[in-house]
Amino acid sequence: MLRYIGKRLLLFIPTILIISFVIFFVIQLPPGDYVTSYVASLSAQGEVFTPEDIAYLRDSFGLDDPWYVQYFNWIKGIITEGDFGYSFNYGRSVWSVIMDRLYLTMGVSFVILIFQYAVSLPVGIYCANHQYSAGDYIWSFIGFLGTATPNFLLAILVMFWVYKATGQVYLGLFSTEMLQNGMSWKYVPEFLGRCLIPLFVIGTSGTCSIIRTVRAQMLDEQAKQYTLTARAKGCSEATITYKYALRSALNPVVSGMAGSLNTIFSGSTVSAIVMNLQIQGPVLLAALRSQDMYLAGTIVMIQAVLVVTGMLLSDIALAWLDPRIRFSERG
Amino acid sequence: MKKTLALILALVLALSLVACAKPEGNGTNPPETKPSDNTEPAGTKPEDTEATDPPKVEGFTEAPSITALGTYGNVEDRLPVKDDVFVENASYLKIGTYGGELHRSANTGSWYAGKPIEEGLFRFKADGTVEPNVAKSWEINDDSTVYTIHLREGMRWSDGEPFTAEDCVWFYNEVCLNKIDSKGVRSCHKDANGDPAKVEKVDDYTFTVTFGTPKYDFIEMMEVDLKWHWAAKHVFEDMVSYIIEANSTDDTAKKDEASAKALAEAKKISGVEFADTASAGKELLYYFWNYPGVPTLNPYVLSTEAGKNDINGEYYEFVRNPYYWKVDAAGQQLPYIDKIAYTKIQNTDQALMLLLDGQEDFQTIAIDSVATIQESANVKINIYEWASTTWGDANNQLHFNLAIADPHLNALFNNPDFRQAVSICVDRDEYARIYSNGWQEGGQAAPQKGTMGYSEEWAKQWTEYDVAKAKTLLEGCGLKMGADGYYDFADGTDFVLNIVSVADMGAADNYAILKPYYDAAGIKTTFRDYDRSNIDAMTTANEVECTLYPVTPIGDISIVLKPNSMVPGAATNVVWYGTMTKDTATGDLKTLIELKEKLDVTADPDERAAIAQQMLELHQKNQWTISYVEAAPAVHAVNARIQNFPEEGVWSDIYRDIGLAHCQCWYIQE
Repeated sequence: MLRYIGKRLLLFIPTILIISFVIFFVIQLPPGDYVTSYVASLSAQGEVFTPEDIAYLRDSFGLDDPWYVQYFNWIKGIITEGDFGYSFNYGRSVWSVIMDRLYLTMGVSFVILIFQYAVSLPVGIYCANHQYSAGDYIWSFIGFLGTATPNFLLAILVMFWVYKATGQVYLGLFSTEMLQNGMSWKYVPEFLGRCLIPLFVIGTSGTCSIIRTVRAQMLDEQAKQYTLTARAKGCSEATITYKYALRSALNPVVSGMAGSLNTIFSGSTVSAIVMNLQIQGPVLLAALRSQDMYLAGTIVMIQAVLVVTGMLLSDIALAWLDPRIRFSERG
Repeated sequence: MKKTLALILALVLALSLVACAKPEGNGTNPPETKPSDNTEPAGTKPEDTEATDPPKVEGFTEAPSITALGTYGNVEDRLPVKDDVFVENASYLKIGTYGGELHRSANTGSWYAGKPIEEGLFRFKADGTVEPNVAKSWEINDDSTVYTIHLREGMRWSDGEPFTAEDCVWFYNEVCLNKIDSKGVRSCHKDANGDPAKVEKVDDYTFTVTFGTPKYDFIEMMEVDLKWHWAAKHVFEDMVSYIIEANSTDDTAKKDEASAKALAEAKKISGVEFADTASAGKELLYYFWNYPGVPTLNPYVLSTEAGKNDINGEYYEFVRNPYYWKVDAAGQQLPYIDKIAYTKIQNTDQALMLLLDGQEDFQTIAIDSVATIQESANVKINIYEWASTTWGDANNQLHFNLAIADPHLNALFNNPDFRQAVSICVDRDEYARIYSNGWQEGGQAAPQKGTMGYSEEWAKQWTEYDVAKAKTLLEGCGLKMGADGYYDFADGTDFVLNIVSVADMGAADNYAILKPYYDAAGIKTTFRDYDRSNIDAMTTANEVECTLYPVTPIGDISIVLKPNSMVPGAATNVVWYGTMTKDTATGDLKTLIELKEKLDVTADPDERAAIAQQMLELHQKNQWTISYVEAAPAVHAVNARIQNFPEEGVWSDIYRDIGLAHCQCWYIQE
């Protein structure tokens, strides 16, 4: 097992390097560069740029070099100094921009993740154990609806209902008052209230798909011979469900968790924009759109690292969960 | 109400995702009163900022919030000497009361937050004339080579240090001439040969600007090009001298040392760590209002408190400048409102939601949001319509790249008959009704009523709907009807009009309505949306053929004051003339450029007016760009608790958009 993990870790390095190269290449693919988008956004606000201004900007941002030279310098900075470069948009180091939103993003995403599994596992099991019951139909209906409804649309609907019910527009996790006075205990109830909408909206789509997966897997497992044998031997239904069937049914759920690390880091994007959540997703989108390459490159690279790490962790978890994988590894 | 709220929410959705939609046809009933009927002449109705009687202000008072701090001393000591205090006494202004917060939301700081509070050396009035502002007065010598500017005695920076001619002269000589602020010497400071002016201090409150050749429009152009003519020398002197030292040496070690010192200074001033000296200079000396700790002359300055001082953050606020140099007619030091609080949003529809809920006080909105506000607002919101200055509706301007390399297209686009055909093949009445839900009427890319160059004839030019005539005109351009029902070039190759546009601006929906008209006239078209920056890049590379909703729409308050979009070569991202220069332009386009050059060296006001008129006549004759819809007014939605918002005004960049509203005079009455 250790050798396997070591091998995977070694593979990690070239994988990340290749990914970073591809990321950088793709980010600079669209015509123009950060200066064009910078000039465009300020021109839209009325500022006038002469060709000399633009040449000056390009020179001062160091965008005169070919992209592979820029890539090489960037990677060199990361490896030798741990310097991820400079965000043109924010005018400061990429790392400080990422750190700004990291804790909030991780907090929000982690809570959402817990919500997803806390809701979907019991519901999935319930539906499988009570197949074709009224409860199963209701949950299946909600499940399909949640999976099929895009999050951002749900966000709009929920915001509308909340506005109807309370007469308040809830945009973002913090009210102006909280931002003005800083967080204190007296704002906690309102803050938690404001968290409910994002939690519900972003949480449900994941929840629904996990419910469907768990239900299908559980039904599969319950029809298998070992379940029948266990039942014939007089095992209790709880033991059959939780000790045997669930353990096998969790297999695809655990593989699915590989992406969770990355989700926790970046949060959602479109829904976050709709709900005005100040988390990492919208920053990445803005960085990509304006070709703020080092910021976009760093975020995507961290995501890649997290996906690869997530894969590794989920593989290890699977091996722990499923003896068949362990045994085949031993050969 | 449900319906409209759903609509707003749907708009949030649409904008968050892809190109947003203009209302598509058969929507709500046309409004009873048509806002665009407001043809209040831009430029003819003075905003009456000048007193009929000289203002008589005896004593001065200050905001209670300043008195409460107890650290600022007497208000008289913070204001300029009594006769030099600027008194805001326009006739529409009521004497206000102090206090409160103005709530705004933004997805960026920069100009959006900067323009409303910007103070220039002079300031424009709505009629296009200039009045003193930071400068108390000016004199011009006989041959217009020397401008003498008088400042206000005793005026202070927002940090309390005296503001003198030294700050103005140092700014020009050190910052501009050495290009420390990234912009360098602006064209207002260049003479007919392109040589920079000489700026010299006469005394603490007087400086001169001397040109090598006569300069006839320095005062106006100063307000268009530069606006401020100063930087706080007492704060920036060291930083700027280190940057100059770093820029002037080739010795790497010395360069690094000087740069490090400059960056350390920049950090000391603003608390921000800049990556290099170029960005430190640009940000702190050009975009100065965006940084905490930089002294300004504006009514509001960015807070220096953590959590409120980062324009990229979730929340930031501009707080009153205790040394602001303007008072109201009763002698109360302005501004009335204590601070402007900005919360971060992701797109403008969220701002509309906040406005409806009373969480935002002021926003300039799209005309079709008026109905939403009237039906759904939780609070009372006043709507003010100001004249805008683009020629026709910018969303419906069609620009042909007259400098396009392809010889077939070049000949076609430069043929007025072709442009006329594309203009008249669309049923404007029907189109404008569908496009704007009845808010706007059909129109042409022509100056708006009341602005320079307006004529009814031009406003209606090529607006009649006549497909048969359009076809005749196209055939007259040498096009031949092909077997597929679309025109081909004479040599049999396909003629396709490839239209591009800026993504997210709704042009895709406009094109969907326009396409059947083009098809009916036999004009084959394609359409593609690009990100704004891509259109810019394509324009620079001369790759754009035709745009619907151009990056820079044609038209502005005056072809003299801001010719950028109207005279080839004056700016960089205008599609219709694109890469054209005087050398490559021909015919009337060349004449237009020559007239502009002649204007620059003409002194006599009547002669100047005549030249400007000729330039506009060339535009009318050629109609180089077309628009299908009349221009919409600039619509401001203002929470009714905000007082002293002027009912009439002109929205133009050279007036700093909302600048004529003079936000320092606003006050809050719940």
